[in-house]
Amino acid sequence: MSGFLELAISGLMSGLVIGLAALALTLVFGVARFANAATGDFMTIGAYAAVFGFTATGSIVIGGLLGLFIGAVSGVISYFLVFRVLEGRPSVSALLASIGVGFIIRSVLGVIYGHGQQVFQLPLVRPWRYFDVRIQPNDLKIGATALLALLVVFLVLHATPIGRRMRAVADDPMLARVSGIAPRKVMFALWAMSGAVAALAGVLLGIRTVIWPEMGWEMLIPVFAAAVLGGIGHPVGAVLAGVILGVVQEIATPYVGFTYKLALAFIILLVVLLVRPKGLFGRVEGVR
Amino acid sequence: MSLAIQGLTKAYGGLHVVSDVRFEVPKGALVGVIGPNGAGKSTLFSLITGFLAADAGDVAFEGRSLGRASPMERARSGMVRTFQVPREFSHLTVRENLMAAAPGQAGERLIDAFFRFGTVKAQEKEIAAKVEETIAFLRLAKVADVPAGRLSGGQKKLVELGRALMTGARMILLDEPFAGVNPVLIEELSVRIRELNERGIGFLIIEHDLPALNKLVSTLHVMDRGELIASGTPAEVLANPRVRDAYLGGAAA
Repeated sequence: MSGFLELAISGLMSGLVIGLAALALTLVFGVARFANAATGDFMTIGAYAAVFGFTATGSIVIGGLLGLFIGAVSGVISYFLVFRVLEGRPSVSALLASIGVGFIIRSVLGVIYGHGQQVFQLPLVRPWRYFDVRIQPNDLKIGATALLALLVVFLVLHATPIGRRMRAVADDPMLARVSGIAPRKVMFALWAMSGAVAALAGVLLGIRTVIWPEMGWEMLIPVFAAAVLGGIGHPVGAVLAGVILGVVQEIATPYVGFTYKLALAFIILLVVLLVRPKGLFGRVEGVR
Repeated sequence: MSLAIQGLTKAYGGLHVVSDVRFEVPKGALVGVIGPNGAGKSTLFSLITGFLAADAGDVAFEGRSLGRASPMERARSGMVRTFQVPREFSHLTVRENLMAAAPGQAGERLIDAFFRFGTVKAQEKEIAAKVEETIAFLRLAKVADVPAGRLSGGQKKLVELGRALMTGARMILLDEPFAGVNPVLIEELSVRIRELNERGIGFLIIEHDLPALNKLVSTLHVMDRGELIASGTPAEVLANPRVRDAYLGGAAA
């Protein structure tokens, strides 16, 4: 039983990471209307930037913030160099371009850091024990950080002028334009936010596991699965679906084995697409 | 002169949908455009508001040529349109719909939400006050927190009007504001439009409901097959034999 609970907790943590990345994906989808396949690579950039910051300063907080910042900058740069140019083209163009952007990011990181693994050299901490369940203090911090980030994103979306405008553009881009809403500023904010959220997911993933150039790309299937399961373009759905997916993956691991964890995400993705293409939360529409 | 339409022309293939239309809307006037289906009224609106690029001609607003200005630039210059089939931010509440349309200075950038919190908050307060005023004016208080997608057709038209007001528009172009709206709400809408007009906002209205429109406007322009065939007071225009032939005759047939 305690083993089961430990798996569930571990699943919750990886679920929050998946959920954050799915949120980054779904934010872009809701407003820019395409699935950004470079989302995983923004995670990787964030993780590498965080390791760099952590190694330089010794502070995981500063490292993490640097990761967020670099993630946001990467999002904005890729928008200005690539996705802005493709606006108004069929969304498949942007999707293909995003695969290319991801490829470039992975290659550049590979050239700079090599393809070996890096880790955050965090001091080992003895796990807490509640009854028979072991809880890693780091996991709690990761969970709290993820929840805090989610709270900030939802506050931005629902309680700030720029968030309201993002949701307006997601809802009806043409109407937004004739209402005098400048799409550039909205897109700028959107890509900064999406990049930062993805980067944070990468940082948290990097703390829990290892950092290597393919780490984010490898996460893409579960992240897509979560975004689809949550109802694409639906931020709350993406996060909840990420958590569900993470927990299911972890709990299933003893039965299906580690190798098939990814296959499980893929199966969930397929089943959702077949049975409930709109996802758990209804309409295939914009951010709301 | 508030709005000057200077020889707007649009053709698809050989078909002239709008051909050399020119008229002016004086500052603070209430002007109507009528015409049978396919006369080019909605296309004219799209040309004026920059949704479509004109083949020839220009639009001047408050003395400034709009040339190739985008729909957004035109909206920001103070000229806003509504749609025949009302459009709204369907997942945003009525209040949020109106707030989204308020022209922003601070708070438009993500960074402001974090680092210029005070400025943004003060501005939000100002916008919120204006939104409440607009909601009260349009009698939308009961549905203020309902997602706009759930409103009736008539209420959506009010939200559209509200959104146009929030942009600070000095000229509002209404595309069939009375279509699909029940008679009670038509009366209500007319009263609101007249009140706004008294505050100095100009209106250019496309409408099929002639009786309702005639009570409202001081000048009517009639289009048929892309051309402007008559202009004048409602009484003059309706007495014009060419208009009777093209529009009223067509409607009776």
